This record gives sequence, C-alpha cells and structure tokens, in this order.
Amino acid sequence: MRRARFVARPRRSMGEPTLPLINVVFLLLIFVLLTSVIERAPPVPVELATSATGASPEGTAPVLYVAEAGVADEAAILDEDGLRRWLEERTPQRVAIRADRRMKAAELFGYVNVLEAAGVGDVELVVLGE
Amino acid sequence: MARPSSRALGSRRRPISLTPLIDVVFILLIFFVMAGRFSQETRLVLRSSAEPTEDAATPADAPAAPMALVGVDADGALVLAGEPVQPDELAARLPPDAVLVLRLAPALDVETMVSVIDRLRRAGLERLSYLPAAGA
Repeated sequence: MRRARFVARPRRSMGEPTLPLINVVFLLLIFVLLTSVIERAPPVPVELATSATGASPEGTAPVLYVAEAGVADEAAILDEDGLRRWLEERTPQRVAIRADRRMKAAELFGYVNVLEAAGVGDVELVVLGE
Repeated sequence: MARPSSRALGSRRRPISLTPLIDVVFILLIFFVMAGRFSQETRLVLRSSAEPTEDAATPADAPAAPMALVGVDADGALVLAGEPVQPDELAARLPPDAVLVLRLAPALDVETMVSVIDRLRRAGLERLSYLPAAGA
C-alpha cells in the first residue's frame, strides 16, 4: 500500500501588518501636536479659577500673571517701576490677567486699579470654562 | 515514531494577532475622549467701582443706572443692608439695569469671587463692579 505523503506548504507570515497601526499613531501624534498650545512656564506659578459664565476672548491682549508672589509678564517678575514701564511701553487698551485662584481678590484689584489708572480700558480675568 | 510534544506544537502556532491589542487601544482612546474634559479659557471683565460701568448700547445722555452696594463675605455669601441675600432675591429686588457694586471681604480669594460672579450672572445680574474692602 502506498503511503500518503504530506508535503509541507511553504510557511507564510501570519502576523498582522503593523503599518496601518503606525499610520494611525502618527496621525494621532500630529493631531495632538497641531491642536495643542505649548506655553512657557510663567515666572509666577498660577492656577486659574473656573467659571461657567466667562466669554470667549476677542483678539489678543497683553498678559500679566498675578499671584501672591507678585506680578509678572511672560519673561520676568515686575516690581512697581517695572510694571509702570511695561504699561508705558505698550499703552494697551486691554490687558488679560492670569490670576492665581488662591490669591486674595482685594490684592488682585490692587493691580486692576493700577491698570485702570494707567488708562487700560478693559481688564479681563482669564478663567477656565466649565 | 515519537509524537511531537505539546510544547513543540505550541511553538508552531501562528504569532499573536495584533487586532485585539488595537481594539483595546482604540476603546481606551474613546473612553478617555468621552470621559475627559477639554477646558477652554474664557474671560471675565473686571471693573473697579471707580470706573463707570457703561455698555456700548447705553447712550451718553441716559440717566444713571441705579446702584446697589452688596457685601461679599470670605465664604462667598452676599449681604445686602446687613442681611444675607441670595442672587435670585437680589435680581427680583433690583431693576434689570442696576449696577451691583460688590464690596469684597479682605479674606475673599479669587476662586470664591469668581463663583460669586457666576451665581450673580446666572441670576441675570450682569452689571458688576468691585470695591475691595478698606484695610485689605
């Protein structure tokens, strides 16, 4: 009796193609990079308050960071003279204040009064929307 | 003829499929997208009580809006004429164009102040100005 011969078929790779996975991961990475806003850490650490009734900002305004430690622009902490020079150089009509939520409101309004006295028309408090 | 051991058979199985891994990763992604919160920055306009609180729509020769002085405690409670008051009661008592001057307690923090602003604006009181308490 003739015995049946089993011929081994050439082995094929059964793994899933990883190219689509890599494509998707890279698309996600590009999406995150394009939609994220990368900011420098401010000289004064600030945690924003949360508000449900804030309005979306219109245009851009110079930003001041305000906390218990003092007031700063994006580069350095400003003393009283520094803040006055900052205002004289820019003469802004609007200023956005990124205030630390833990600081005293009365202290914040000390800075608001300084800005208003320097001719700033709109002082805006930056908050996180809910 | 010796039969191949089960270990030898296992080594000949096909590699683990990546499809379930991708499924799990995508399910996790969907979970985080649905459960996460993308906070958007918004802005509140601050005006001290020294500044006029005029709207652009208000004509210059219009009569001055009525004003009410309301105290804000350190815990965010509102006080009108020495008595605690809720934002809804304030909105019912005051005319719609009234300017609310908030006298802020020295110990009031920014987070609590913003929550007070939210409560007042939800009650329909939009025209706010701020007066930090003396000695702050």
